[in-house]
Amino acid sequence: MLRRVVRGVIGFAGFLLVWELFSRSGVVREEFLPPPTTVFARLAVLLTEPPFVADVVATVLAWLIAVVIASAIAVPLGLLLGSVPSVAAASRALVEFLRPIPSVALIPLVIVLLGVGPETKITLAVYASLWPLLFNTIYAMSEIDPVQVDTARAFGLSRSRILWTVQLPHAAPFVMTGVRISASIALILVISTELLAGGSGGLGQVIFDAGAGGGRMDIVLSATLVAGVIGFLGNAALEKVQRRWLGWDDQIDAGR
Amino acid sequence: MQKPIGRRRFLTGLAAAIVVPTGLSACSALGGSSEPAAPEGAPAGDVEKPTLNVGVLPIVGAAPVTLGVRDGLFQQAGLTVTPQRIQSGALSMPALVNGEFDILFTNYVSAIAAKSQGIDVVIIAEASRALPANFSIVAMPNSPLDGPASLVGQTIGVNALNNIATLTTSSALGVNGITPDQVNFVEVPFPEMATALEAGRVQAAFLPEPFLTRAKRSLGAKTLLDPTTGPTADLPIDGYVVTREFAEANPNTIKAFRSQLLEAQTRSSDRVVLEPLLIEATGLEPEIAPLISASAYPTTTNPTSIQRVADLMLQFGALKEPVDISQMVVLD
Amino acid sequence: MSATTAVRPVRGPHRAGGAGARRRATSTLQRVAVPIVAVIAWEIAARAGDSPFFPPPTDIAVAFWETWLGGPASQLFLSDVAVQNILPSLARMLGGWAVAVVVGVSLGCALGRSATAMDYAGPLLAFARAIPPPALVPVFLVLFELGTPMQLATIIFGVVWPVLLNSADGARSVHPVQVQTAQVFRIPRRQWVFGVVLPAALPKIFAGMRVSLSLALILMVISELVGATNGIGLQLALAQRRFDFDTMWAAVVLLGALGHLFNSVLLAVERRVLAWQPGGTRKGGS
Repeated sequence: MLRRVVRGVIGFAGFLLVWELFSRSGVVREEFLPPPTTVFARLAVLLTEPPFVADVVATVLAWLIAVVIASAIAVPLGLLLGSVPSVAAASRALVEFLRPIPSVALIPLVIVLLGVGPETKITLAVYASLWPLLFNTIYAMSEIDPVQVDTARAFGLSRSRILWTVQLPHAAPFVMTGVRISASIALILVISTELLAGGSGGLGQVIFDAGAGGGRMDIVLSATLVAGVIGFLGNAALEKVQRRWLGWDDQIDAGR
Repeated sequence: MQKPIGRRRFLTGLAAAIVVPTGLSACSALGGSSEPAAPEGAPAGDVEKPTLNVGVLPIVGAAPVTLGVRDGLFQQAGLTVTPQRIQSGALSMPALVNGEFDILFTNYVSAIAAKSQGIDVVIIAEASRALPANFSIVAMPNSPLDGPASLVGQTIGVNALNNIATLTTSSALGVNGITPDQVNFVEVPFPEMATALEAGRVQAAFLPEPFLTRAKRSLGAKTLLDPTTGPTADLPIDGYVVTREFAEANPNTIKAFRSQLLEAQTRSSDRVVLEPLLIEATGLEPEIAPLISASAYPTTTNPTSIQRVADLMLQFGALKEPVDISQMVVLD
Repeated sequence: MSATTAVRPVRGPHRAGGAGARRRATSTLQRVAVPIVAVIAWEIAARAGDSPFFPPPTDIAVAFWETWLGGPASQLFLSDVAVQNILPSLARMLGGWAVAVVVGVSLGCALGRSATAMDYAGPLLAFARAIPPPALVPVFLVLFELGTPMQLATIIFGVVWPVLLNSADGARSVHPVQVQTAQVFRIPRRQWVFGVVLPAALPKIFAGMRVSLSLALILMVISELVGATNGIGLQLALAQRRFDFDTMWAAVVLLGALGHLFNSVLLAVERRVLAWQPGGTRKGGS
């Protein structure tokens, strides 16, 4: 475990080193692409400023809410579509049509409906992050070994028992992978919406303000770094959940 | 973060609760989660709507609103004005339509385009007009480009196509006998323009203040053309709009807002007042503030003048049919 | 779409021959009914609401015809606007996606098979994945030419992650017995990669490719927010800014239709490629 952490740190340090060298190489002005040493110095200052921290928290909260809502919609819907083929067939064209519509295109429409508050960025993040989770859930359901379900049915298990004892445990790992993909998309959407539309604070607005107000690339990159760290921590947490509670997956896989 | 950011509702409210349990009331960004109460003893009978949400951009043209709030000018007329930040005029129009903003600061190109598409907005006051050197087409100091004629065949960075940048540039190029299709306009956000210039991604760039002064300072950028001279001199750039519905329901409110705004405009015309104001309202760096060329803050609203923007839009294809600005302006 | 894996006749009893035609007709009806009902409901709601932001489908259809269609037969009835914008957009999107797939699969499979490499690169990848492409505009401006190079970079950066993540997952799931067998028989590296790892990872790779493909369409639009001189995304942004919501919706409809089309094509390819797998795509899940 410790070795993994050390290696991860080394990998990240390598990236920072490349960035530092590039910024200082003179290819580009340092004020346009400041090196990590400058950015981290700025970040250290920013992290002591309550408004910046509040913006970070605003982004993280919006993100968490978006992921929870997306999961609450996508997983049950995926279970339904994955286990009732007729519903899946009926909704397929609609779902397939809605999925590729970029959230960016929907920003003014969502603002008309919900205003410029946090609801808008959450809604757009939910919209964009819904699909991978939905499809992963449907996919996981569809590939359950029918023999398992038939066996359970032969033993007289009820539909809901089958769902809880056979289908969900089987689907869980793939659903979790879906949650991880969705979470990263949701974070990107929350920050992008803050950046493009604004009005509700957050890291995206920090980036916008830093660019518009003073062309302060050190602040822009600080906020970008924080975004990356949030994504990393979120992913690490989800991986941990996956490993701890869905750890049986490996054995199933190995035993097949 | 001193600037008022406005109603950020539950998320920032939650953020405030988590981060600053001690209560950091000095910071309006966090306090913004609650609506300010109407001023005490305000003459409520006069204005129909005493609390106004005004959508603003963090740019030079909208700075007087910040001054009006800071100096209590709106309060004097019984108005509680809450400036609300938004990133772009085009995206804030929906928030005006749905009533989240009562008044919106926006550029005229967006307002006129909205009007032409059946979004019934009316102009209640002018915000800023172009003065010489407010805008410039600039190039790198070592660029072989040296004037309007040299722009033929070159790539010019603008923040958005079919807006004030391309319209005024096209007009100014026309004076020099160059048509818009002889240059390539590409969209690059203003904050990234200096990077794009230096990296050679664009050969020239349309820049407003404060990006212009900043580019001159950091890159030594040289001016090739002032797009708001000749036929586009003194061009009105942006103003305050409301929906027609709001205008008809709240004539006194609008009158009160306008008269207090005019006072704020007058005060903002004084550089001694303006420079600290820009630092406060737009996040401008203190060292840039004395150098930037301020735009004019008009104290009258002139439909004939704004009509020139609509005419430019028609001339360069940003409008399909003429728009009559006199039908779009509400005066006392 | 993976949903089709659900409608595929994996469950024996439903496969019976005689009722097949009727079943197919019913399922076509099912498939068409919901969109038709949705469009009619939208039309009624839009006409009742009368908001310029939400035009009725009939108005959008007119705008769609005027914007994208109505050209000569030699252009497949596409308008000049369509030819000048759709084709470059799609070329960038598919090109970016293809590069992302190649990079994602090779990197993902390598990382999936090497725990050490994953230890070094994993956190960095999780970090990079969370960075919103619009925030990278200043960095990309330094590194890439405006226009196609920068747009490609934006698309690749945005869509490589699902392929990479899924490929790593897939490569990790190679059966231990296969690993041991390969070691015992000392099969050549090339054969190990193309004969064992890739086939084992393929179902998951395809799942990742599908997610990436729909993301690529979205990233294509985002990539055209900066430095674009043509493209569907640019047309959409321009329509949005001039409040021409009929045309904006026409672009949205086009994107939806294109997304549907690409996904169907990819699914058909996937079904053919994975046909040899016992139980179809069954192995992808765990």
